[in-house]
Amino acid sequence: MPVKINGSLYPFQEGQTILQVINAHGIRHPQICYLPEVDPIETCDTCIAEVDGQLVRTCSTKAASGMDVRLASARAKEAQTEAMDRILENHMLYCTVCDNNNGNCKVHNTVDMMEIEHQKYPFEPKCSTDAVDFTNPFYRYDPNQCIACGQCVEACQNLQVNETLSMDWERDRPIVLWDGGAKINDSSCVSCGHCVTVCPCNALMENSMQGEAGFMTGLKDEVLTPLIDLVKDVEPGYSGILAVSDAEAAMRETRMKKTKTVCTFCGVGCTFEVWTKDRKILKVQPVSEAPANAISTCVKGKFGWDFVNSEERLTTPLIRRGDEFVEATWEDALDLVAKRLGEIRRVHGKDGVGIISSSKITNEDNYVIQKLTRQVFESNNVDNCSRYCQTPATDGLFRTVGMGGDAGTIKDIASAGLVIIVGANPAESHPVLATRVKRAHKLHGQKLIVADLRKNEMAERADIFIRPKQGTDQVWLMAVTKYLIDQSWHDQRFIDDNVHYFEDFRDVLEKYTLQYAEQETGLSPETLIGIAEAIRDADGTCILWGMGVTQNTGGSDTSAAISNLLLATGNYRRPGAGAYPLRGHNNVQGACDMGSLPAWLPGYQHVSDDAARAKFEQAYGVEISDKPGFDNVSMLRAVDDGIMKAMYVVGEDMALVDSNSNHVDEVLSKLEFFVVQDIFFSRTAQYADVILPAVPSLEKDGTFTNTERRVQRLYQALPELGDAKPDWWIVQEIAKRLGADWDYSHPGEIFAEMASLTPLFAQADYESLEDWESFLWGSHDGSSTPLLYVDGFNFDDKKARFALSDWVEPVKFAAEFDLHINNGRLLEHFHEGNLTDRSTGIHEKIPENFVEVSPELAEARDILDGSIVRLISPYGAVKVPVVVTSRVQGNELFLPMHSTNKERAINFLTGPATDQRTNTPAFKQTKVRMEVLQKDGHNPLPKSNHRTKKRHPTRGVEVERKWRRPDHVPLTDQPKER
Amino acid sequence: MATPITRIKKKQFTPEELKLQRLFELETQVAKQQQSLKKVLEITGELDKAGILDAVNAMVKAREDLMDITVQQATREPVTTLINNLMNAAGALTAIDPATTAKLSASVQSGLQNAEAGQSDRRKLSMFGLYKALRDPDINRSIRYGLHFLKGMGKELERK
Repeated sequence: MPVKINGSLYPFQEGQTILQVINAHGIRHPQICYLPEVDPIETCDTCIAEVDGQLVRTCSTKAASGMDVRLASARAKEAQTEAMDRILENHMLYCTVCDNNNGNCKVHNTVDMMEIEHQKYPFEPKCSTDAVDFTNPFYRYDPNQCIACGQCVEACQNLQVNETLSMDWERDRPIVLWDGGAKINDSSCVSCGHCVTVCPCNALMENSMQGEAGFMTGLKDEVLTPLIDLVKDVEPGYSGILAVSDAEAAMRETRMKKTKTVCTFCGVGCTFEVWTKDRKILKVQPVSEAPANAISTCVKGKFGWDFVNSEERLTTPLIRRGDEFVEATWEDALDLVAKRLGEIRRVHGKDGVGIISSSKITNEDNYVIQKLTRQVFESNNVDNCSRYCQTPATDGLFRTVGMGGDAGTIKDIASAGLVIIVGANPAESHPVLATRVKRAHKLHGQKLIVADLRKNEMAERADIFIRPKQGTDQVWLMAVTKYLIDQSWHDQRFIDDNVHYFEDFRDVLEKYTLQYAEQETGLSPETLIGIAEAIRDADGTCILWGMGVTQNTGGSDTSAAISNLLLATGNYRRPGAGAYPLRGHNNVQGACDMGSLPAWLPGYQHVSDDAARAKFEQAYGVEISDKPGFDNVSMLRAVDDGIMKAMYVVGEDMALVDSNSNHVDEVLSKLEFFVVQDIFFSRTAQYADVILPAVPSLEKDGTFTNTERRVQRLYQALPELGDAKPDWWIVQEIAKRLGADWDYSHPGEIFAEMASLTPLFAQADYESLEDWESFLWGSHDGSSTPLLYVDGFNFDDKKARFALSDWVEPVKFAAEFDLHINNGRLLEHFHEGNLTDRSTGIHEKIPENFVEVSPELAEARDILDGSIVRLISPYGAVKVPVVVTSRVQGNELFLPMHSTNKERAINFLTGPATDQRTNTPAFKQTKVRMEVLQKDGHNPLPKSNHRTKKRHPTRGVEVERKWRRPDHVPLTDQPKER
Repeated sequence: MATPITRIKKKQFTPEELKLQRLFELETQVAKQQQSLKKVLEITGELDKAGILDAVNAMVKAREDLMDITVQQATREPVTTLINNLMNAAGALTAIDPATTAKLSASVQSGLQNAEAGQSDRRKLSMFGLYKALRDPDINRSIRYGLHFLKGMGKELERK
């Protein structure tokens, strides 16, 4: 039976709150503190209705059949108006001169909707005007405009789960506190922007909006304050004030552009609107409709876009002349590129030229780059930088379950009973994905196991945190699997129905006893049994892993061991379970999906598959070799051996990101002709003969594919800067000069061609991807597939295979190299920092690279925060300042990867060892010795960095504390409030 | 063979070249917008003839001072009182049914005409005359209307 609202009957779903039913049917009803992403906040009271004669909050009352809901009864109206009056006592309506007056201000719109003309309680400021907190480089808080709804607190505590904000309910007039009363910049705030995004008014606002959004908001204070006073003295009815501000907001619309885009700072695939005024980025505005992130962002996605307008952007093609680069026209540059690459291809054969694509550029860019390689150069010598990170994970999945992608979506990770994170630090590298785990763990009883060398944030939150010896993850994974099977805690029925080679697998597991595992990994049998029990008891286990697994000599086999464990316990083919390699760049998944790989045509059609090859041969009009081409690493070897003479590198700083950069330097110098396409003058570009200026994501159309296999469109938000051009356009111009008859006028046409040749994408097109829509590949009929393998695994017989591999021992180093050096990301930066370090705010938070040293080691070597040390590996040396922290222990060091400076970049230490199946460099297996150069120095981590601060966890906004105030007069008839 | 280099020679345009580039950009724009540009020129010509352009020019240049003066003037108490009175008066006018005001206005006009016509009557009005006049249905209607008005106004005065 439906629910009755205002006399009409409405159907509802079990479990929905009354407010959800109201919203689902598009009924207008005030709801200032309602935030669909979190549990009911219950602070604003504007959603009160009379339900079966009782006044209740519709946001927290479940709908029930036969319920009689009156939204506009005299009592309900009176309560709503009183609620709004209490809010307006805290907030001055100077909308026309407010930067938040952009049509989406919730307080403004609610006053409008409720037709409020005057307020009962006059506005009284809570603090002096100098209490506005401007300390954070990205946003400011004005307590005098704050209505104490607590949405920011709830978002910080229970959605982002950074646990910094709280509401001071006991204060005379409640306001929001950071770490219980610190200045924002002295707090544990990570500047993720959630609080600013959810603020229903202008109390929390992006600094980039200040004085920029409105026509009159840039006025001097001396004029602005009297103007606001004037409006106050005159006391017009609010409908008049709002009419004027609505008109002004409409004017703003005409010069403000709001464009949907996809974030490029990790593989989570956050989408949001970017608001621009000419070339100025006013702000990033997340929306609830965004499929991967909803309203969530991290500091980079919300605030890290300054690089787009950097003066250092490449804006014109450059050609090497003698010992300098000179500016050139596109005609000259492209003619030269085509002429030289063509010549070298003719003279030296197909292996004379190698092409490297990028995991940062679009699917369409990637597709045309592989097409250029295969059709124009008639070779398979194309690869992308996923070789450096994710190929082992893909390999491990291909061998076991048949598809190289996450088993489900972020929603599955959030709903799992147990999440195991191995060698990954999503709180810093995939921040928005990590929020879903942190929330489920804090509120919904999800269990968390973390295996890492470093005690990162996820490790601090974990139920079980283990620190196996470097490079031994496969051992404990196999020992746990063996123990589960020995105890009969595995899922025999699932295995019988779904997986081959169980008996062989048991044979391989034979030696992985708990004792053997203890000896190799240093983990006690009790700990391993604890992990096994957690898996046994969980309703669904998701395993997330990253570079700590893949960048090892046994990276592929360890990835397969993860998949084996999941197969043995029936953790595939169901929601809330499965394997989740965390893709590091925005389009790692897409670059591989598009066939920028030496062995794979688009959509994972192998070059040795005759039928697939024939299809592409017909489409491209050339023969395609059935032998895989060179990968990144073997391309450099081929250059070194004098086989490969020319390279075309797009969007990749090879000279910094390849392991053993000392060697890469030499190799790149050997090239006869080298083309680099980038948005900045990278270290790699220094070796180029021609540099082609490309555009970043905000200046082009296309699609990216996130770690969930989710394809999402990005739209051009800004015009191209200078003469820079989209990558697909540049590639097409080169192809045309080499005789190809390409004629793409928009990336949509490229996508359509790709989809027509790629069964996995057969049902995807630009129209169905419009705005916030997305497509998840995963079925051979080309339909969107959020959860993989529902109809069986990706092999002809629909059955998975246990991978039968022993573990691979890590590289051995001479005894003098006594310290292991780990590397990875920090929250604030992306990759080498070519982009994020150009943001002034981010640079302020992390001004320079440093090495983390454990307190034990610091004491033993007599060093402090700020000491300068030289680290020497067999391959090179760096000189860096020290940060002493218990995130690392014993002889473990951690050097973040964010440096373009040769003196501080990790890859001047890393060596030539690679994963034995995929050639991925074993970046994580590096040892060094340390020399202390200088004991005293300044701490490279500034005081404003969150890492040294203590978080301030609460259960959320804690509205009961408001209800307990002696002066609280309840507006509902609900007993809990009384 | 490529040694790494970091020097970029930017094309240095002479001032003459830069001027030509900008003129070329402008030319393209002018050619595109030729029709509307002509109209704009006509309008500005007229505005200039009327001396309006000079005034606007001066106002734009002095905009900060002007804004300052305007706001200062507007925030003086007599002015806010004036604005409040105007707004209250406007509020009163918007609350009255236009049909009533139309009727009232017609009645007042008719009253005025009649009064004008009776100007020549120089006779003194006695108490009896007043009493007799009350029995005149037109005068009686008018007085009754006034009494009801007084009653309503009195009620509102008591409430405040």
